Amino acid sequence: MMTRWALVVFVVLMLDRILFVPGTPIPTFQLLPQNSLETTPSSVTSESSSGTTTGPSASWSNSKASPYLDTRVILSLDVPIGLLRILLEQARYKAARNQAATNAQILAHVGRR
Amino acid sequence: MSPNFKLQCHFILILLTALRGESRYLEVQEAAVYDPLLLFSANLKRDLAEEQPYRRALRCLDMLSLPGQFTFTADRPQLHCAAFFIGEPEEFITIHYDLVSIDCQGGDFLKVFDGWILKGEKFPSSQDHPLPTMKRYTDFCESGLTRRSIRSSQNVAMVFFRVHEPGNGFTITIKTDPNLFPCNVISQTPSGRFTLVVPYQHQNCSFSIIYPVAIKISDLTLGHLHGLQLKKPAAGCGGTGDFVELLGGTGLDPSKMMPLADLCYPFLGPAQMKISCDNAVVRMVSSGKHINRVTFEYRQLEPFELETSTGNSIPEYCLSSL
Repeated sequence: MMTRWALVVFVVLMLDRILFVPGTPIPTFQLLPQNSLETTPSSVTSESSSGTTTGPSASWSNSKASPYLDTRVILSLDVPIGLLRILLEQARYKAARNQAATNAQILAHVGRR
Repeated sequence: MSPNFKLQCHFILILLTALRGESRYLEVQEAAVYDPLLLFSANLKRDLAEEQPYRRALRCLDMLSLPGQFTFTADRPQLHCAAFFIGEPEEFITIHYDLVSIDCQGGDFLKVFDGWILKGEKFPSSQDHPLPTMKRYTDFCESGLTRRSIRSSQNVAMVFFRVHEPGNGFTITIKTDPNLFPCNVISQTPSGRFTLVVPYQHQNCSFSIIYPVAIKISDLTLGHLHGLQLKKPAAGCGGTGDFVELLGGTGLDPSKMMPLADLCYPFLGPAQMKISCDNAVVRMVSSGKHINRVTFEYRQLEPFELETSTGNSIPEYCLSSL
C-alpha cells in the first residue's frame, strides 16, 4: 500500500511538472484525462485500459508498465473558439488571393494564344 | 413592336456584342488568327496541369483551407503548435509526410488528429465518430514513415507538433478527395446552403457552423418515398428513430451542446431558428432503415440581431456565453 501511494504521488508530481510551463504564451496544449465512461457508438469496440497513451511519449513512457495508473491523456489545444474564427477568416482570405493568382495565370495563358 | 421584329433586334444585338468581343480580341492580338478551339487545346491543358502546387511556410498556430505543400521550420524552440485543416464540405483531407526532421527521443512530436479538438472538445464527437478518441491520433514518432499518409473521416483534421531544435521541422502535402455523402462537416463560411443526406446508414451526422447564425430549414425528409406516399419512420424522437436536432453551444463537441429543437417528422417549407451561440449544429440521427435528407440555409447573425431577442430564438442560454 505504501509503495502504491508513493507511486501515485510520484505520478502526480510528474504530471504537475509537465503541465507547468512558466512563461509559455497562448496557445498551450491541454493534457486531459480520458474518461473511460465516454460514450462510443455501439458498433465500435471499446478500447481496453491497456491502450497506449498519447502526448509526449518520453514523458509518459513509464505509464505503460504501471498497473495502478489507468488515466490516459489526450492532447488538445487550449485556445478560444473566437481565435479559431480569426484563423478561419485568414485562411479564406489567403485562399481567395491564391484563387485570384491562379485565375490571373490562366488568363495570361489564354491571352498568349 | 411585333414579336418577329423584336426577335430580329435581339439577334442583331447578339451579333453586335459578339463582333465587339472579337474586335477587342483582334485589337489585342493584332494580326493573330482567332481560333476559339485553342481554349481546349492539349498544350494549354498541359501548361495548366504543370502548375506548381500551392506552397507556403507553416506557422506555429495556423489554419489551412487549400491543398498544397507546407513546411514548418523552427527558428526557436516551439513547444505548443497546431495546424488546423479544413476542406470543402464534400472533401476528405489527406495529410502526407514529405520530410520530417524532428527529434522524437528529445521530446519532439508530430501527431495528426482525425477531426478538430479544442479545449478537450472534439468534432466529430465521440458519439458520431467510428473510432475511439485515442485511435483518432496518429503519432509520427510511433509509426514513422511506414505510414506516410493519413486520411481524415470528414472535411477537417489537425496536426499537433513540438520542435525543440532550431532548424528542425517537417514538410507535409495536403490533398483532398471527394466525399460523396458528407456526414460530419464544419462549414468554412458563416453563410451558405447545404443538403445533408444519409442513405441507409446507421450513423449520426453533424453540420457545424462556428458562428451565431439564423438557420432556415427548407426541406426535411425522413424516410423514402413509395410513389407519392411518404413512409414515416416508426419512431421519430425521444432519442430513437430518425430525426434532426438543432444544437447550440460554446465549444466544438455536439454531444456537449444544448438541444434547441428536435425535428421529428418530415416537412416542406421554411422553418427558421436563430442560434446566437458560438457554435450552431444541425445534427441528423439515422437508424439506417431510410434515406434521410435535410436541406437548410444559414447566415451569420448581424450584431444588432444578437442584441435583440425577437422571433424564434433562445437568447438566454447563448448570450451568456458572449
